[in-house]
Amino acid sequence: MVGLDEEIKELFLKQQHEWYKFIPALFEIVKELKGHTLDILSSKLEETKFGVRYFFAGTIDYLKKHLDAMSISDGTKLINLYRSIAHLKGNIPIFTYALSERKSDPRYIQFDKEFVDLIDGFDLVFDIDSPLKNVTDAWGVAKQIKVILDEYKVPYYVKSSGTRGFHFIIPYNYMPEINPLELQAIHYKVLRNIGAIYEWSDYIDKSVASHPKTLIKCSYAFDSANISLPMNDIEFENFSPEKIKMEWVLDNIILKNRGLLTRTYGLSEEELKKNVKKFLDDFK
Amino acid sequence: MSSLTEGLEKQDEADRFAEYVLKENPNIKSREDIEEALSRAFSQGNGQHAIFDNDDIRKILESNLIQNAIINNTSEEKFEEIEQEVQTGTFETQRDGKNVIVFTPKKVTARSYTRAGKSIKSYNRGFQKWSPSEIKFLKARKMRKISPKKVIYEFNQNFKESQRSSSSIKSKLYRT
Repeated sequence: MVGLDEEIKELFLKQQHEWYKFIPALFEIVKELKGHTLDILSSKLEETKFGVRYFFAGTIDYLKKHLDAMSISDGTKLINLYRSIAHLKGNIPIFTYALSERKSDPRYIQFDKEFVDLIDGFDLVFDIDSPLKNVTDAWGVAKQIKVILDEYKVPYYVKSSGTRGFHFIIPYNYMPEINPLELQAIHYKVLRNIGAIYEWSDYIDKSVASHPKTLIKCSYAFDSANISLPMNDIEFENFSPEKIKMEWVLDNIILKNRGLLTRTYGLSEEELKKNVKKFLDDFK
Repeated sequence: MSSLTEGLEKQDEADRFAEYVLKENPNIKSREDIEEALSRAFSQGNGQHAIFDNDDIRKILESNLIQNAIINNTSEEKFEEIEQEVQTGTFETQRDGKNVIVFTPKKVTARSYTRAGKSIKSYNRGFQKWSPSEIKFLKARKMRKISPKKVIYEFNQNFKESQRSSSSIKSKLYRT
């Protein structure tokens, strides 16, 4: 078994190295990270667990430097790229790459302490995972959630979460302009109530809205041979686990300027905000 | 509490009186209509001695037959208005222009009790508006024909910050 695990890990390391060399993918990751922290955590397959938070990755150069610093480029560590659900006002400071000293950096300590004050909004994230650890099972519930979001005409994008689920994300800029912490409390209620009303509590992870510092996987991040791939309606309807495999994505999807594929239904920002408010009011 | 009120505690008995009311006036639209129909139904023989107080009307109003009739004849909002009027008991009534009865609200005292680990020392007599998510929650369970007992338990488990009494949930469940 150990031999097999090592073989798989070696394959994933090779694929990860290839993926993060691919500039259009890095470009798309950077776009989503605007106003969010990048957080790099070890993959489940790594024996030594590690996690480094609060990277600023506003440009491809920065993102590459972070990946180098975390020994991604030399292909020795399997990692997962996450981002904050919170959107921050102002700039994210750039801290030292000496990872051991990072947490003792006074600017880091101050940033960590003042993090909540720097938040100007939260994305609402439906993190759908199957209790049976079966992506097709999760897809069944995800399809029904999509129907609800489409009915309300709320702006969202949907992506595979990596290995066995889906994320529906309503971006922070469409949310009502209220205190961010109050907004997150509303998000929690919405996730809880939708889970309870439709009996999807086992599928919807409410913890993503339980704390200001929660994280989700970055769009276009690599995770165990799969890509956290934003999908359009047709791709979502025809989803199969094979179609999020890195090799399939590289062969079949044009990534350049693909973006997050946010549904806006041809509506103005004001109309979309109204729809989001109605949606939150109906489920909070 | 009169013996009649005690009798009306039983659902069958409340339904029996509801039938009398609807036989007299199937188009009931208000509390006064219920009272008048009762008065007419019991205007002969031994019935003349029957006295219906606010508690009796409240019990009869809880009958599904009456609830449905009022909602059909008016609206859900109007029914809730009547329910609130009868619950609080603050109104005056005139029967055939002869007997004027003034209902005064009973002073309600609630024992302190514990709900979800939180000590409740007073009972809010006001009516908390039903939120769309609460109504969706009840509708979904009604469609799936889940037993009221289970619905009440699940409701208060989910909406922990705005728990409701079992009678309130049950009543809303029937009307949703």
